[in-house]
Amino acid sequence: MEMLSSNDGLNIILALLISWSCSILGVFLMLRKMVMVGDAITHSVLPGVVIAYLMGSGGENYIVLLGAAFFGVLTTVIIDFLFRKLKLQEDASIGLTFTWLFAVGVVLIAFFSDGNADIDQECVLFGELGLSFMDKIIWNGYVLGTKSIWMIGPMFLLILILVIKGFKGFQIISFQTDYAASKGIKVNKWHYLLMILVSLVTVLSFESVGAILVVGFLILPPATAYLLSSRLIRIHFISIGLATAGVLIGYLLAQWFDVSISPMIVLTLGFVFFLTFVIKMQNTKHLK
Amino acid sequence: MPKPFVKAGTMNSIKVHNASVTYNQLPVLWDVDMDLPTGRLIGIVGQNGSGKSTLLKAIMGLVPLSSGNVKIFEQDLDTIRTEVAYVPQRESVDWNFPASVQEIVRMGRYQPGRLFQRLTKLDHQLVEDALKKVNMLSFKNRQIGELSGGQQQRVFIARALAQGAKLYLLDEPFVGVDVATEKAIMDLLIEMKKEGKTIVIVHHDLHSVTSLFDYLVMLNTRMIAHGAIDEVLTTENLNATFGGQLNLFAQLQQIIKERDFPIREKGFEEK
Amino acid sequence: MTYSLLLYILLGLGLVGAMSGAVGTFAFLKKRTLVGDAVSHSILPGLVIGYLLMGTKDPYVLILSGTIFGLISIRSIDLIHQKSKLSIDTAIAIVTTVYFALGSVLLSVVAKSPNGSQAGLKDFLFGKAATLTENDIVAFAIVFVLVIITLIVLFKPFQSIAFSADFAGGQGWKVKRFEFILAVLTSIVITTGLQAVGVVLMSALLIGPGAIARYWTNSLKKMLLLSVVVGAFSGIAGGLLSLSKDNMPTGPWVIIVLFTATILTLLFAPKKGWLAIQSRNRLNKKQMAEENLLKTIEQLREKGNNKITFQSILDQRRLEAAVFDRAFSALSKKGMVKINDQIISLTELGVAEAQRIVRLHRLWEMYLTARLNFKNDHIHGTAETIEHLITADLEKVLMEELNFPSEDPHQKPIPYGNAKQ
Ligand SMILES: Nc1ncnc2c1ncn2[C@@H]1O[C@H](COP(=O)(O)OP(=O)(O)OP(=O)(O)O)[C@@H](O)[C@H]1O
Ligand SMILES: [Mg+2]
Repeated sequence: MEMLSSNDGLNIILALLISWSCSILGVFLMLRKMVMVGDAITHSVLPGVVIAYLMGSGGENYIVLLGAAFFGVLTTVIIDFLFRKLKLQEDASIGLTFTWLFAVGVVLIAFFSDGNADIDQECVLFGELGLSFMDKIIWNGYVLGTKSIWMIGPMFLLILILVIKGFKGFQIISFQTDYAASKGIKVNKWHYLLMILVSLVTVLSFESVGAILVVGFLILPPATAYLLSSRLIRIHFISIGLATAGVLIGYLLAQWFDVSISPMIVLTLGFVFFLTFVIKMQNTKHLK
Repeated sequence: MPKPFVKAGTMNSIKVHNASVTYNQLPVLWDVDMDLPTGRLIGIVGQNGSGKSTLLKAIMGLVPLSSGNVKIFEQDLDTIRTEVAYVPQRESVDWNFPASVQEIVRMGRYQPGRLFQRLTKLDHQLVEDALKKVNMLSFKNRQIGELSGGQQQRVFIARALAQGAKLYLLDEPFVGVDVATEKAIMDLLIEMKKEGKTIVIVHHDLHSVTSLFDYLVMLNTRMIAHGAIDEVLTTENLNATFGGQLNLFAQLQQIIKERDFPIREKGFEEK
Repeated sequence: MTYSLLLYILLGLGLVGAMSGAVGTFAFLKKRTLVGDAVSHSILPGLVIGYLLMGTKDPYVLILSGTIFGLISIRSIDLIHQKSKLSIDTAIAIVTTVYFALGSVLLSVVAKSPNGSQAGLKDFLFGKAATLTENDIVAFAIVFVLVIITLIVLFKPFQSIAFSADFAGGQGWKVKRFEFILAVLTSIVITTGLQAVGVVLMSALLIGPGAIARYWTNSLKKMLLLSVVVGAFSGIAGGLLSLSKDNMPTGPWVIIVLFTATILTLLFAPKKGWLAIQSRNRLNKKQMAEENLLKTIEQLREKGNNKITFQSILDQRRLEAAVFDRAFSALSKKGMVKINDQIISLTELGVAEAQRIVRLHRLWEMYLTARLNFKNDHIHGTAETIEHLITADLEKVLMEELNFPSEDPHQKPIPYGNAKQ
């Protein structure tokens, strides 16, 4: 194996920031039992991304973020509308909504992508983490990171601050929505805050990990950590630790075997989950 | 926020006026009307699905009312929420949730406006006091799933205590609880009553009703009766509460559902 | 593209849609459609391995290897859910992404192999009907026939299980065995369909037809049939749309057709559709307005007012002018009210109907106080609604049960007219 270059370093930093952001949000998605809605959002922000691209702005443009937040909220609103107002059962509401929005995104790409190499159908699924170093920001000969890093970095900080400051809010709505509401806590606001954050992170990771694999980033470290601990704060720390290890090991393995990077990271995270699950399987108390 | 002055017996703790709730067009609470006194131990009884939990949820504003309104200590719920502590039914709890006993009880001190602030010394003191009162202090670091049913129920009562409310709404607190714990919880509740608190308990088991409560609400989608326990516990009321829905009533319930009929008409009021 | 090839392709898509509709109906009824999504993603590594083993895209090998992975993924989901504290949605997401990641890694291996670029395995991601060969279509047809025969032969147990697994167990069916067969069918169908619509969107083809059919019928047999038709239609229509432009993936178009059909269904379906609900509401409002108008006139008559005008009615009740107008003209068409020189009167028919409403209102008030222990000052509101709902049958029961009371709780007379016979 060759030595890792500074480009690899930039790729890894990006992957770490994505995985940490996902890890924090994923813990709450998992505890709220809303992983499927999260999954749906990661797919259905696609039309927003495509439209923003077509409008001539690259992935770094802030319009993309607005579009993402919009489509993320739209997804939850449509799902809720189908489920509550039109009485379609919940799994079908989720399944149809996100496939449809995703389909619209893919069709848009197919229509307009001729000759435009910036975005293609496969990239939407897998991302191209290996190429993320290309949009380097160089100042006076110093590499100051990449545009992607400068997008997801502040996002990660924002999530971190929101979750630390608003920990009680996220905790109580995850534990018992009814109880939180009975105290006058605006459950819906917290819910949509979470969903908007998921949309934003998804969009920011689209180019590098893609729509489907980002779900792996969202759920695998939290689920593994959940098997290992029963304290919320510890779960967060373990989850971030696992995400870090998964990114580093997965990246190296991908280099070693010369395969796509983000699938390899998810596979590594999956393997860690598998080991944990097998070890923990026997001595779990069943409370379901 | 103005604190209401509440003295036992002088005002109503809860006033429910003509409240109806429908789920998918089917009325599950129909024109329920009641005034509950303060400073009493009040039981709500009724068979499965008779709307007991829904009544508590309606009081707490967790389900929309199709008609009617609710007042608590003669005020709107929103102005007086901190004075009301609600303990949801066991089934609503995810027992695997990663939280310790202490963390759960702390939630009693959470308030909408203070979610972004740290809990104060006083908060922590109240949490500890509450844990002591229910005898769970030594379990404070246990995960809630690793407790017995009785211990779990005590944790949730401690959470309500920590809130320092005047009115307590408990949904089936004795389910999965052994006799000794039930007695312990009951002693605690009686003590709270003596301090002037009002305690409303949804209860399943008719046998223990007389020994537990001094005031009873009998519910069967509609209000059958409410009042001092020796007055309302008549054979007639018991039959109406537990003997299934009257045929006529049940048929109308179905018609309303099938026709999506609004439970209250709008725009034709008499002047 | 030749005409016959086009026909072939559309036939293939129709077959895929039809069998997805059939199998999806059961997934829909069991609320397990999102498992279908997991399965379709998890089949990807199976397909790539099948290709790596054989070196070509042999449809039969791919269906076999894909199905095996589909079954493994279903088993994995259940295992994770049952043997840990993780909830089902988490289990589904884990399985979906991990298997998909495995497939992606394998794909990137294939892509680097000498003839990897010709493999066309990537068409599995979004489906590309244009690449279907005659060989594929024959395979589709065989699978289709097998699936349909199995469903017909095992209809009874599947029906019981769809209703409730406990119920089926109670009837003596070996639930585990039939659920396994259903899982096999689901995996086979998904694997087969992937070529046409792709990994990402296959789940919609499982969900959509069943969901649509559910809104049009309550019978499982009809639902299956309708679901098959809808599935086939979406497949063909989506195929046509996608073939209209080069380089266009098929899957998204099929899903767009399907989603449109779903929305149309949710809007227009009988009884449960949005429009049906709206029109029910309108009818309810219309009925209330007319009956309230009649009742108000009757109440004025009771008071001895024999010069009833629009104004005297409006003084009595809050009524929007437009609502009032509509109700009034409807009633005069029915021959229940007359207007002469601005003076409003009831015809004989109108009197009978108005008295019926008043009677029902007062009977119900009686019932509430006499039977349901309501206080006098709490009965009027409910009675205002119930008077519109009591059917002739219920009215009879009510009168007999109360033994034809002459007055209501407010000591107002209850008019019986001819109702006593
Ligand atoms: N979210 C909901 N959606 C639809 N129907 C509901 C919902 N919640 C409750 N119901 C129905 O409303 C009725 C009243 O429910 P509720 O939970 O209030 O009964 P309960 O008296 O508390 O019963 P239990 O003793 O079983 O706790 C039941 O028939 C129930 O099936
Ligand atoms: Mg209940």
